[in-house]
Amino acid sequence: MAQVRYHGHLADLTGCRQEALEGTTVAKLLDQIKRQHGAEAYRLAKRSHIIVDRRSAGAEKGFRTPAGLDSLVEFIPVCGGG
Amino acid sequence: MILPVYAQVDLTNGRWRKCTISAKLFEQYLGGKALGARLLTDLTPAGLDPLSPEAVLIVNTGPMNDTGAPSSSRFNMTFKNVLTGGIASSNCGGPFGMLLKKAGFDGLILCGKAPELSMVVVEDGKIRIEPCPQLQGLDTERIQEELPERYGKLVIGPAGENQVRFACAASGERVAGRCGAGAVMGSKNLKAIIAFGTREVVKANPEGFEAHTRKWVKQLKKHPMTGDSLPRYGSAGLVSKANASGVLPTRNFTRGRYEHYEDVSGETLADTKLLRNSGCVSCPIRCERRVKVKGKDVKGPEYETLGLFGPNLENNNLDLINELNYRCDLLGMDTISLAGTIAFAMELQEKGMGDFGLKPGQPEDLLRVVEDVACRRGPAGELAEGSKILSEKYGGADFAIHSKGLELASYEPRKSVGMGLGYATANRGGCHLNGGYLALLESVGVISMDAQTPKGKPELTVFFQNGMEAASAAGFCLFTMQAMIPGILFKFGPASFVCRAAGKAMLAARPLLSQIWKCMPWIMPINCMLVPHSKSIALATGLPMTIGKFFTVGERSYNVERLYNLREGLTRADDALPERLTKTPQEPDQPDTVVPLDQMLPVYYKVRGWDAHGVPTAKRLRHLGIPLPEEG
Ligand code: SF4
Repeated sequence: MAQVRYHGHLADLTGCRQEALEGTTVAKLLDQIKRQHGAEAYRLAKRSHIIVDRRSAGAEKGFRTPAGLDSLVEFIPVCGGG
Repeated sequence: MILPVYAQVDLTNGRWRKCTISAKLFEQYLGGKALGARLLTDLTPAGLDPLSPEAVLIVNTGPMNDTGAPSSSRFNMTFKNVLTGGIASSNCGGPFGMLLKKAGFDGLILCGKAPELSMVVVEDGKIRIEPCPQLQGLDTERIQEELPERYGKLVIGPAGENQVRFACAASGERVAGRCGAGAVMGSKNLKAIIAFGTREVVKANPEGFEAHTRKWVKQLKKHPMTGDSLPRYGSAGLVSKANASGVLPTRNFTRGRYEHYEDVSGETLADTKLLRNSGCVSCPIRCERRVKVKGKDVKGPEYETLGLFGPNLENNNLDLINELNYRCDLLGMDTISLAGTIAFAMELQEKGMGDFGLKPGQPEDLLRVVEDVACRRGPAGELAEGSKILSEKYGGADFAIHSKGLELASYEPRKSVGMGLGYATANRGGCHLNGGYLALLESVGVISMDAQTPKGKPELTVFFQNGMEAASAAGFCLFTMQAMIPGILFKFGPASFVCRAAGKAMLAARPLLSQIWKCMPWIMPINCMLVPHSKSIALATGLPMTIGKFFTVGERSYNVERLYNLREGLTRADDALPERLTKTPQEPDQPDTVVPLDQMLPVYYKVRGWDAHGVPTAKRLRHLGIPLPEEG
């Protein structure tokens, strides 16, 4: 089970900051989020920065980035500023 | 076409006179920092002390101020940089700029030194100077309460009076933070400038302008960045991603991640401290946070302040950061330079290289330190000189985190190397925005770009530096430029194929981006909603503005600022970062986690059309219509 941590509005939608989910890739974890927390949470999670073990999934294999049993996967809202 | 009207004010003898900016200069530079740089170059000789009476302070607006265009309340202060000795421009979203325009002036050019503490009063086309010894020592809030309500105010606090090198000037609760504008005002015995008037901006095409503005506001409100994330989290929302990307400066930029980052994140701020969001005049984005400090509703910290008063000082007390932010605003000091200097002094002290009476591990003591710096009192008072001067006296240049003398903002560039290039080349010194803000593409934004590769970064840096320079010259907030990133990308998400491909495509576009400046402005003879700024300027002013001309204003401004820096003795060697960032990998097992400045700088100069020493070539200057330095 990967540890999944939600930031921002996603934590409100899922009702938790962190939980354990089953899934060996980011895509599979996203499916789990959809199943457990609904389409809105899924949509928001998919649009977030997804960080797997301190590495951005965007810089790895995107949604195909593997997530190990003891991985920490974070979903962080995309923000702006400067 | 209505040309900008400026007033030249001699504070020594109280005389002033009106002058009109020529049509040519207006078209070439618009206003704000671009016109400010041109005027400062023309009006001052080389080698002046920035705090001497002879030094000139320009306070000016851009053509879009007070037009009602989105996020267009930003006014500018240009002067000789108190920290770097080069050019300084500092931007503020307070109401002063708008009221200055209503009072009949697009800008003020101030020189000399008032015989006693004074304020400049600008009212309905007239100017007078009034002594104000009774305002001495007042903080930026108290003084604005004391002054008549209807005026737009630009004031300094005790730090400015004491000529702290990074003192800022405040208008409302917004500040012109960087480079020491407050110190320059203090050196001139100028406590405040206040303005009032009823003049309306006359627009060239009022109906067209209104229609364009409506369309643009709609676009900003619909865009995921300017319509959702900035209003929801402000810039504070960047903390979590910055930490995840390793760009959250921690312990004087020794690391890019902080274990307690969640305690000071934008989400925590929003969940536990946020009262509401707010914003500058005429801004539909409203990125400002309102928080409570000691029961009072005040402006909350930006990402920069959270990062530098938080992780970079290993402080996870969010209430304390809010209070420090408020105290700095009251005393009139730039939080970036102050917090950066404290972090450096702490490291000096820990290494036994100096003693500033700091108490590492006791963040609460920072409130005392901040007061001491503002008053130049006790051992911590020496921090008022900034990191560069401290490093010249005590050593530690390799970990004094500044470029040209201006402390770096809150992005650790070893995990965002394009941001490192931006810091090193920014004309005002280590500034993320003046540096092109590549961190948004490399580390914290929606596009997934290789943050470690030096390839393509010089070309992108030049592009964004020029674009932001132009937006600033016109009076627009730089955050409006973030809506240039297509909103559709946010629907896919940074991990998607589309956003990863976008990152690759931008890097792959480098041959095109490197050549584009040779063909500006003719290559983009159009206006479109991707860069709505140019059409807005055209409709408001009647200038034949296009996207190409808009970017050319930015390029021209960047070159004039560069020439000013060269004239004042800065060289290629000043396009530098401390060795901690260029020689010591952030991750010891990943040698590429340094800023490869030596690889990027030569390409950057080439793209800019500068020679190998970073000097703009005559050909480039002619192309831009800038007089060669020897031609005057
Ligand atoms: S986006 Fe923020 S900083 Fe910019 S004008 Fe609006 S409120 Fe001010």
